[in-house]
Amino acid sequence: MEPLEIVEKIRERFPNEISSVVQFRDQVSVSVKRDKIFDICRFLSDSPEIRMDFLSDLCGVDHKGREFRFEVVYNLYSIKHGHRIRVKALIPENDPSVDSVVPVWSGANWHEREACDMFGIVFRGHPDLRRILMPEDWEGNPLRKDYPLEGPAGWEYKGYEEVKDLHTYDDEWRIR
Amino acid sequence: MTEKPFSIARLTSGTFIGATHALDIGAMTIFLYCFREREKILDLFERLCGARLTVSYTRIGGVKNDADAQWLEDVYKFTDEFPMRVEQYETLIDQNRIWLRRTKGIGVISAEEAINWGLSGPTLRGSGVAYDIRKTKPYGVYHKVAWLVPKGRNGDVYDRYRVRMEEFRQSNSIIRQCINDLPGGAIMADEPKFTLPPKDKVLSDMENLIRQFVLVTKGPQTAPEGEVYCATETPKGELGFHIVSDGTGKPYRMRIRTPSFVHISALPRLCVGSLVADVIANIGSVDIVLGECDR
Repeated sequence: MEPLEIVEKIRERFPNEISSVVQFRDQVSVSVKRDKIFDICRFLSDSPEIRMDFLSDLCGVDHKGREFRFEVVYNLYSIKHGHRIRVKALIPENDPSVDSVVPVWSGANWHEREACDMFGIVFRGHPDLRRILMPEDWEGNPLRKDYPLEGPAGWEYKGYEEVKDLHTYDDEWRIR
Repeated sequence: MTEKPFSIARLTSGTFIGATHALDIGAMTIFLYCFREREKILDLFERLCGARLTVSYTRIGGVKNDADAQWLEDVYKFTDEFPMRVEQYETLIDQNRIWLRRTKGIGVISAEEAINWGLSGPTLRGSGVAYDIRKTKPYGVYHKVAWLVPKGRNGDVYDRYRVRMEEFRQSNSIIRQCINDLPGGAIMADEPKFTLPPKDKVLSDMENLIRQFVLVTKGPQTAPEGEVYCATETPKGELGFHIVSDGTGKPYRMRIRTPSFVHISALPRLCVGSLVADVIANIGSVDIVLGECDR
């Protein structure tokens, strides 16, 4: 099935959910509102003619300055039919949360944990939403565009002096 | 042209996984046998581009340098003897009772479940799903060469191992066909905004000097605005790049989907129902690389 036909199927089933469709280099992305993303994913995965059974990739994107700051991107592929489509859930900044799709694709588990770790997007209903790449006591979400490049806010590298003060001199080896 | 190193890299990865996987489960001899071939392949890499593991041979729009005729001949000679080596590996462990007991019926995952977990590459094909991006959406020259997608039946550790062994032969055949039909000509596209000019022109021509200078110091300055997801089949599975571009030379967001990341996430599922000692067999059979998982 052509990607645009799949978009029409989604539009038939969920008339008010699609906010935009973009075609670029033979790839189609559909931006949808986040409220029914779980139902849309369930529909795409289970309806026999679409059958998007393979979740290629799931990731977050930070579009700082837009009305919907975050996007969760689902790159879907159908091994049965061989068609591809990209669904994007639009997420506002004040409430960065979206339904988890782990019940649909088990493979989404770690992808969602990574998106949560890097962007602070909360996946509702996720079985085990802990940080995955950063340490568990880390503050902030490193891939947000407002995350300071030099480290967490307020922290500043003072250079060698700071390190020198922390150093305890070893009497045994007489290092000064 | 660029296809050949990829397939050879697949053989390196294959010999490495064959070796370490078997070593993990306790078969020492095959480890040494595989590393013999691996060394030869790495020597070929070294002769081609100076590096053994991280070859960095491909460029945007081409490759770094041309391969000479002697090198191609030696690669061809290697592919002559490699199938015999694969047979040797198989005689070592295929009928080995310890190997069979350690791998048959371990880490079984059905086709539907493997797809649902997002497994790809030999791990998915071991479950009987003939999904290979080189076939479903061919890139490079994969549509011009004849080869088969091997797949397993039971989805256990043994079948995944068998798929990898079969892929040795297929990759070997791909390399031979590539060398036979290798066209001559330029090794680099001539796209002034993205690719480096030939070195001899840099030294004699002002425009090309500027082009080289800008590309090396600042990198490409523009890219089309948009969003793509592009996946290739690596020896371990689907390697996907999701790139969001805002029109500048640097991507606004680049996400790399690596097979190991997904495969490790499915490891708890694969280990259900087997002993603790079989965890290592599962890890070996999905062929994980932790550097790739962290990215």
